[in-house]
Amino acid sequence: MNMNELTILLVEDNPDDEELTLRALRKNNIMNTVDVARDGAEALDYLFCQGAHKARDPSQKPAIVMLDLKLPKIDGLEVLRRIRADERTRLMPVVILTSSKEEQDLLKSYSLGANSYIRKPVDFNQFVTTVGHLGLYWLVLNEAPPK
Amino acid sequence: MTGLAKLRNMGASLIARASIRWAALFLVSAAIIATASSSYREIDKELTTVALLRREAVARIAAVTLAEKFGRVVDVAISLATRVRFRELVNQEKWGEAIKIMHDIPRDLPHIERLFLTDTKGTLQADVPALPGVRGTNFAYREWYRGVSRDWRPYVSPVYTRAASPQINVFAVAVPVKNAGGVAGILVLQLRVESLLEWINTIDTGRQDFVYLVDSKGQVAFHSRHRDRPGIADMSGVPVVMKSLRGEHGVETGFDPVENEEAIVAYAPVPGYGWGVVSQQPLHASLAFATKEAQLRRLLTGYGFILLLCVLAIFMASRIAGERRRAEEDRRMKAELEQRVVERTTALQGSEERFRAVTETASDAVISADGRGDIIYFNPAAQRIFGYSVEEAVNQPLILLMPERFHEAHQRGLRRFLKTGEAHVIGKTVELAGKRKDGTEFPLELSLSSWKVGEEIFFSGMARDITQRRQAEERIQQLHRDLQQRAVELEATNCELEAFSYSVSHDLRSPLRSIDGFGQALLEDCASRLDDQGRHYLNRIRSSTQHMGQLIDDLLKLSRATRTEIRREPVDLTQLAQSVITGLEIAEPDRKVECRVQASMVVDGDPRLLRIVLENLIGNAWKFTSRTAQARIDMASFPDGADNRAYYVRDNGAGFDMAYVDKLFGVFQRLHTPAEFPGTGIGLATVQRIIHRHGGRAWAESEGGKGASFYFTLGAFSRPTPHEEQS
Repeated sequence: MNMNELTILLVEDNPDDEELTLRALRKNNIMNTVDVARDGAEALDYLFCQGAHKARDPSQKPAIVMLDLKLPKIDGLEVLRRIRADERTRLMPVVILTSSKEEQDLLKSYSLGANSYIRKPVDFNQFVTTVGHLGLYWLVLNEAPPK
Repeated sequence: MTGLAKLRNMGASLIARASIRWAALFLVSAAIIATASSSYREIDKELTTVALLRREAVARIAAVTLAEKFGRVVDVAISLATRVRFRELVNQEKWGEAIKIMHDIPRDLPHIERLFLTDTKGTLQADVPALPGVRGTNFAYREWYRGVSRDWRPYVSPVYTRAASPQINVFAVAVPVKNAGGVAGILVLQLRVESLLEWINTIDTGRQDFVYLVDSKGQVAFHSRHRDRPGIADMSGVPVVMKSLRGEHGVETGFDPVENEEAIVAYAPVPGYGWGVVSQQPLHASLAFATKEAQLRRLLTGYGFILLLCVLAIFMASRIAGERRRAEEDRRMKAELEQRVVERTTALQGSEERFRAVTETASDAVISADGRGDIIYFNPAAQRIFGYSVEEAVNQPLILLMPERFHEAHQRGLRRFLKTGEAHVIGKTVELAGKRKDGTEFPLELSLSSWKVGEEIFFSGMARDITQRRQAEERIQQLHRDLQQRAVELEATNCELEAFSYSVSHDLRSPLRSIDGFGQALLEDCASRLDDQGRHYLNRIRSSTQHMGQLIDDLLKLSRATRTEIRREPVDLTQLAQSVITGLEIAEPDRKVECRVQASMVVDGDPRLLRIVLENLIGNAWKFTSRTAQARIDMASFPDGADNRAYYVRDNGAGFDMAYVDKLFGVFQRLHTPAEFPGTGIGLATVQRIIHRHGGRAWAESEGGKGASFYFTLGAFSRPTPHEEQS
């Protein structure tokens, strides 16, 4: 499977962060498709092919979900909980990508089965490096769970 | 000692004393009885001996006298027979003429009843007074002949009854009439027993006594009691007679079958003649015995008296001793009682004084009342609290001190208590309302007790004005309410703070990241359109945003240090420090810092917070030695007090000015410019907060330019936190 056929789902409500994340991915030459959901509800619609994303092919699962925690409507932790609760998405790799490193967030995220927890640094150069590592790891090094 | 044991002891000593008394009595009695009986026997024996000796003396005197009489008769006979003329006539057998010489003899010697002459064959030849028909009669069968002819010596015959009338008892004294070559004839004097022995009657032998003479055949020759009895009584079978005839003398007592009485019998031989004398007296008639018995009776009476006196004396002595002992006991008990009275009186006075001292100086009102409910005692505190003087209060009813609405309940309670003894407030502490003289009411705490003197009942109460306490309680309750309110508010604030921190963590950082990110994008994408000045500004914007990001992170750390619960567990500080140093070395591999950490520093604390402390202290040291050649960082500990240790991180870096040491731990306080050393001024504040939350303290020392030392202690190693105590 071509690495570039793998889709990334970015769940991010802040357009600045969305743009900067995409820029960081491009700077790291990660050319995969990045679908963006702007709140928790949309992320769930996307993943379970419902609502606005009803028409989407359920077999096309993102290789990785980059999930922010502070989201409108349904927050990131709830999204994570539902992903892990559903048979279809139970094994899907989810990386928490957020501003906070509050202990409670870390604890809850890992408790709910997050695969990784990345804090977005303020320094953009550092952010680019971090996103590079993230892409390299999850898209290249890591073997995805069986479909 | 218990009363029972005392009684038992007293009983035992009484028995002991009684038995001593009885033993003494017994001993004295035994001694007296022994002495009495021994002297009784002694005196009995002596008096008996006296009595017997007397009887024996009578017998012997009689015997001796009789022997003398016999001697004289024999002498008379011999002198008659030896007359020369008489002898010649007998030699010539001129019996008639010879007897004439003797013609006057019976007249001169009246006890000689008759004389006669026989030839050697015993044939009577002549007699005077002459009896018809006897001349020529042979009397060789007579005792006197046999006696005298045995060896031709004078002989006194036993008694015999005269052949011729009157047939009286007589005895004969026969003497041979001798011539030149032999015996020519026999001269016989026949003596009348009566006349011979008349003299015995003249011997005063005593009352009811008698003497009798026995001849050599044991026949009674003379009996002073039975003088007129005819015939000759043979007594040869009587033991005393036999003894006297055997030549013995003596005295004995015994029953005499002849006289049919107890008798003293003395016997003696008549020496030379084979006769005996017996002297006899009935025992009861013996004066000596009577005397003896009287004496013994007197003796016994005397001893009896002595014994009685002794018994009496012992009895009296023991009575007196008992009395004295009782008196002594009484005196001792009285003294003891008096001593006790004195002690009790002293104690009572003491307790009275103590009571006075206590009640007079007590801060509580002490009030006593009698059974009618009238006040009888009112102490100074009561006067102060209620406002009445003693004179105003005493003899007034207790209701004086109560608000009117309680009067009836009080009277009812008092009546019920006096009637049934049922108490609702006595013995308890109750809170009531009191009324002062000025009519104002106040809350009081009252402890009531009752006591009895004889039948009369009294009450005592201790009352305390609890106005202030009430106020204090109310204040405390108000404070408590306030505190609860504050706690609720604090809880809310905490929640807000939590939310705020969360918000800061997420939301404040986002814009910064945007500023930095787009600034960088601008630099990268539009670099050609920017001149150096523009690029410089953009760089300044980016560094400020990054500093802001650092500030936010540090503030969050400080907030976390304040908010999070401390979970104490053993923490290896050595390992923690080394881990922090390793982190620093990785972050700045170009730095060469000599780090030395003391081994095995294990403390009791929260590992996450202690990591923040070391990150700050070692991080600071790392930072402030950045311009020092041969930088060095030491971490070690030393004893602090008895059971605690202090820890320090020392560097040889820039140090600080001790003038500002008190600012060092304040938030946002920096002693260096960012140009010299970067920093937010929050790190040491966080350190201090964490150390304080562990119950320890933090301080610092420095000599400017020669490095700095940061010290901290943690609470006692095993001290449980309040949280743990609750769980």
